[in-house]
Amino acid sequence: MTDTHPRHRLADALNSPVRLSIVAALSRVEKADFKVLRDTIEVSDSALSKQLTMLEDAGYVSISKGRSGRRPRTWVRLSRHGRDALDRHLAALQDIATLTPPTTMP
Amino acid sequence: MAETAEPQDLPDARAAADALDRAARVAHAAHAQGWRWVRIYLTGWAIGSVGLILLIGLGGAVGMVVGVAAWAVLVTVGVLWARGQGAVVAATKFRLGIGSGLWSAAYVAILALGVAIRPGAAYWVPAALVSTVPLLLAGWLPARRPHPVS
Repeated sequence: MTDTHPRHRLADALNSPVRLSIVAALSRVEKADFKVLRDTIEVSDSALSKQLTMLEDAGYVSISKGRSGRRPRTWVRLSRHGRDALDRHLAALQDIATLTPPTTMP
Repeated sequence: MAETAEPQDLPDARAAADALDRAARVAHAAHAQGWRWVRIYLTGWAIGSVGLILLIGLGGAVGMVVGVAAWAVLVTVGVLWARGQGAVVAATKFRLGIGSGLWSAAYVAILALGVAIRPGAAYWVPAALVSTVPLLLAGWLPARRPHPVS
């Protein structure tokens, strides 16, 4: 069996829509804080926290804690590894999307 | 990451297209948010600069005191507001640095010339507008796209 189908190039960690959204959102900023990610992706605090931990464990993002005045602040950055994985994942999705054009339901 | 997608979870063409569309939308939203505050900040600074230079140039001693005091408040509020922003695009530090650096140079030159030759409104009004150019350019020149998402 050969691994020629583009699905073999998908990153497992990015098959979750929320994790893909997090990494995609971070791809066009230097860093974003927890609140911006939560509001942009429209998920709960707990769901975002869980997915960020998974992405951090995979080495896709780095998380740093700070303060803005009295307010605690969590900053998230996309790592080089995460950016490379996103590039490969998006390229694979693009290939999958063009393999069989979506059909319109009647 | 221990999680592995099962074959039935892998996207078909439509799901792949949807995922690409969603990724592009959130990437655009985060980038737009990171840019919006930089533009607001630098544009607010430019508007404040016009007021400050006109007050100093045309307002006499009272104008100078009011202008400098208002400027101090504006800078304090602006810096605190900027610190609270939660999305930072890649060129933010560069744009703020180049905008503020060139504005400072223009501001010093405008005041030095104005104090030396004591001109009227024909000098101060265009000079105040000129002082906004570095800030508006830094805030509004289109950015290079750093990533193909979108």
